[in-house]
Amino acid sequence: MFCIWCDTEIMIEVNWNNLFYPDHPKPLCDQCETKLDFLSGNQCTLCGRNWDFGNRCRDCARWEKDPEWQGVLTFNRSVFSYSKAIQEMVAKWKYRGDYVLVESFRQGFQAAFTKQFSFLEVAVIVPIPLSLERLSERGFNQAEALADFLNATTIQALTRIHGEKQSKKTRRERLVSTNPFEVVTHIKTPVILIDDIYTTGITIRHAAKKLRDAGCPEVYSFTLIRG
Amino acid sequence: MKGYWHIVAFIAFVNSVSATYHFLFSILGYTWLFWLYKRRRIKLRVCIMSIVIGMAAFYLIYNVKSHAVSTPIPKQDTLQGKIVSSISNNDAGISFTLRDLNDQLIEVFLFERDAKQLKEIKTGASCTMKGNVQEPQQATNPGQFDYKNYLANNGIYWNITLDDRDPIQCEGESWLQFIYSIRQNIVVKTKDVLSPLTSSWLQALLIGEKMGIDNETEELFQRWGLSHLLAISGLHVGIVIGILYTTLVKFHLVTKEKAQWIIILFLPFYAILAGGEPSVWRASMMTAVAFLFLKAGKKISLTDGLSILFLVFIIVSPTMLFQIGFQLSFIVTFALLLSKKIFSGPKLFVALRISLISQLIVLPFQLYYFFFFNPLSVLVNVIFVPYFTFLVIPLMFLLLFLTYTFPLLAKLMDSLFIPTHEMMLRVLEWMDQSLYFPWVIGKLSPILFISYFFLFLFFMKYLSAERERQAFRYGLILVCFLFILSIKPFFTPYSTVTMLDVGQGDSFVIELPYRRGIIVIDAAGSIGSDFQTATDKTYRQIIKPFLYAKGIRQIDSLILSHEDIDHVGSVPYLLDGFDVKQIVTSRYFNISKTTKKNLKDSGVRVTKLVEGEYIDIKGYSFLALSPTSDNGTSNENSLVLFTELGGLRWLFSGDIGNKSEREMINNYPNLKADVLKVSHHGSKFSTSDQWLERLKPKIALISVGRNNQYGHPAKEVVSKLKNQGIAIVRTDQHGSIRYRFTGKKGTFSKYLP
Repeated sequence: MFCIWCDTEIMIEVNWNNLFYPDHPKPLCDQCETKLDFLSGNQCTLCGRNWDFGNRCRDCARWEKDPEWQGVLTFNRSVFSYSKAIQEMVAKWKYRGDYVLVESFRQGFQAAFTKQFSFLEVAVIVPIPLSLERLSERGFNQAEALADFLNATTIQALTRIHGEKQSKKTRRERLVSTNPFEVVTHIKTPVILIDDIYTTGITIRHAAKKLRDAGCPEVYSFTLIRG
Repeated sequence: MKGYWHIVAFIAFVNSVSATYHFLFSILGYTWLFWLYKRRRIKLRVCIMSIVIGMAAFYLIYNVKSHAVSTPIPKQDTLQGKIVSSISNNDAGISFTLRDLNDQLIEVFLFERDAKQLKEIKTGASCTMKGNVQEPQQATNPGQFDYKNYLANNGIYWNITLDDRDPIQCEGESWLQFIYSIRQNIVVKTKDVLSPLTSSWLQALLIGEKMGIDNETEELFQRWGLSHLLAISGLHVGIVIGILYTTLVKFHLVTKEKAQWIIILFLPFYAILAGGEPSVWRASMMTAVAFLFLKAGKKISLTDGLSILFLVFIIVSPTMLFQIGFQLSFIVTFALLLSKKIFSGPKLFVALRISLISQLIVLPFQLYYFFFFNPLSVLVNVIFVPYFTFLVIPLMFLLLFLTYTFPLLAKLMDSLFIPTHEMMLRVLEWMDQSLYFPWVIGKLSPILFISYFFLFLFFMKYLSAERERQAFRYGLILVCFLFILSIKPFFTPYSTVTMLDVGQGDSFVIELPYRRGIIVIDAAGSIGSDFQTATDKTYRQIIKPFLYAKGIRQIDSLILSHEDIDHVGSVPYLLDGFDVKQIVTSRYFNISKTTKKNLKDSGVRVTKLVEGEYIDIKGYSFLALSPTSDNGTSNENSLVLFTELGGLRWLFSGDIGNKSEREMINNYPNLKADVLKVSHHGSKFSTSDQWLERLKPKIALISVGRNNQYGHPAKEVVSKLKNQGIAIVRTDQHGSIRYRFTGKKGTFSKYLP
């Protein structure tokens, strides 16, 4: 077995724990694994970022003040905090098409999902879609790849109109941009949106807004990274 | 496959067990394998590899086992063949394994003979000898070491014993002989240069020659769980190789590359030089494999290495699996490799943990083979393992080097080593005298054997996950498990009377129900080479293992019929090794003054009986029927006891002759017995017609040696018994005989079918 990130050999260490029940093969070596920072400690109750000064971070407070966005998103949770290492990994995975790298997130993604969302008895997973142009450019939708890890009903309830990459825009530009999503399936149960990263929260909220308008009672989101 | 070889090894192991005991083990093993595959924990290739090797292991072991049944008896009177083992020396003579012309392995034992002839007996030599090929002696008592089984586990089904008159001629030698002659050279040279103490330890620790270590020391080490230091294992090989490699590299004798090759080539050579025991092979091959991978620049996990080695061993030599040395060597190494995670922190703490884990993992084996363990051995290991690791073994290596180069310096260092080592041995002896509390648990059944490992697995699992509370809980269960095992007899309503097969002699053990008491009637000893004194052979090989296997440490009453060696020879050892509360004899039993004093000092009560008196032992009364007065000879002075056990009337008659029988016939006109211990091993001077007519026994017990020189039991006695329709059971034919009963009902059973 070789580490899918740094390509060094991973030695399986047999101990009393895995003697009669081997662990799942690990995608990353111990060293690369420690580079991924799991979100922990005090967090903003709304967007899930690390926040030590009360319930909600300043961004979320701003969102909730705006009557247009108030309560659109119930809350967001993420697995990893933003770091250089994970940025590199995601970049290689998403933009340079190293699809197998997604395996390095599987375990963490699944575990965090169970931890954060098992309280929801009925919920539908909706991955944030890519526009057709972007999809043909990348070959796969990273949100769908993540959603595939989860053992829950997944519905492609949204489509996306092509626009400029979010990552190329400034915060202000992102916030005033028009909503690129359209609802294709109406969902009447709570929804958990899946995406790779939550940065300003505008993409998630655009999608949530459309779903809410189409009759969805509650929208949560679960992303790999809290940017 | 990497990281999964332990699964293959485990399946192979389970299949070997399956081929020996029950196919259920295979089914369980394969179920586990498929479950892992279904849960995607292992790849298909691991599965296939496991199944293929597992089936091969099953076939190989099954083959060995069925071979044992179908081997025909080699009938020739001259035996020809080749010596295929190393030649081992002990006090009585030498032994080796011969492969005869029909490819049968035969264990040969030679009593002492002259040096010239011994010189020709070498590994690989072709030999011709004349003698009687026999089936090896099997165990005839519970708990006894089974020599037949032991040889069978080595693929040997026949043995031959040659005394000094039997001719043997050998010529030739194997290409390995040069290694054996180096070994012999080391033995002679170190003996010559060094003190007897140092040279004997050097030989034992470096080349596995234990001839110089006396039995007492070996047993002392065994009692304290230190035997592993005496058998060359990973520890010794590691130190020897470590010193060698460092010397080669540090002093720039050769390049690192070359040093590694030298080590790799040296290791198999060393394994043979050090006697070729399984533990030596395991340790040397493991080290060689590690060096090879190091050279190839490949990483291999140690558990994989060990597992592959295990597979190679059972494929090359399947019988090894049954050897205690092989079992212990692998299980301890494996357990320590699995525990790597928890070996961190202060050195003393780590040493304690290593010692504890080693002791805990071998415990079931220890109980299975020896029926007891010594709880304090964990602490002793913490002292003695570092002492041997950092001082004794490296020093021995240095001394070996100096013996050949600077003998004077060797002698000087030798004189410094002697007091140190003597002191350490004295410390151990002192502990043995004042702190030896063996926990005698008894024989472990296979179910309990396996259960123990499951409990231990959970204990270690939680300990290494640092879940102390859970680990503590399992640790507690483990202790309770052992505790329950040792108090089990106290809840058993069964009693037994066992006539042990002690050869030409008597020994009975009576276990009262709910462990209310243990009564031993006579403790036969074996007669030494001077035909005068008793040796501890019978005690060590039969009586002690039997009592230990039953979890017995305390004897409430030791009844001694009379003072002949074949009835009391093991008494001193019994008094030493067991907690004896009371000795019962006839009034005319001669106890020497020193023995009397010893008994008094150790708090043993002595009760003396004459005819008409009885003794009550835990509610069971034993009535003395004889002697009425001093009859002059020890045999006629035998204490004859009558008792009722399990609905039967028993008569234990010692070695009385017709005179005492007549007396009892006169004194007890209504005397009847259901079970008669036939007096004096069936001598024709006892067991008269009148005696049998009076007693009207249904069962006659005869304790007698195989092919004894006295011709016991006498033909007349046997036919007398037969004519009266009395069932005869004899230890020489049936091994030990047991009567197991509750209340007034019970059954007799023989150890040999």
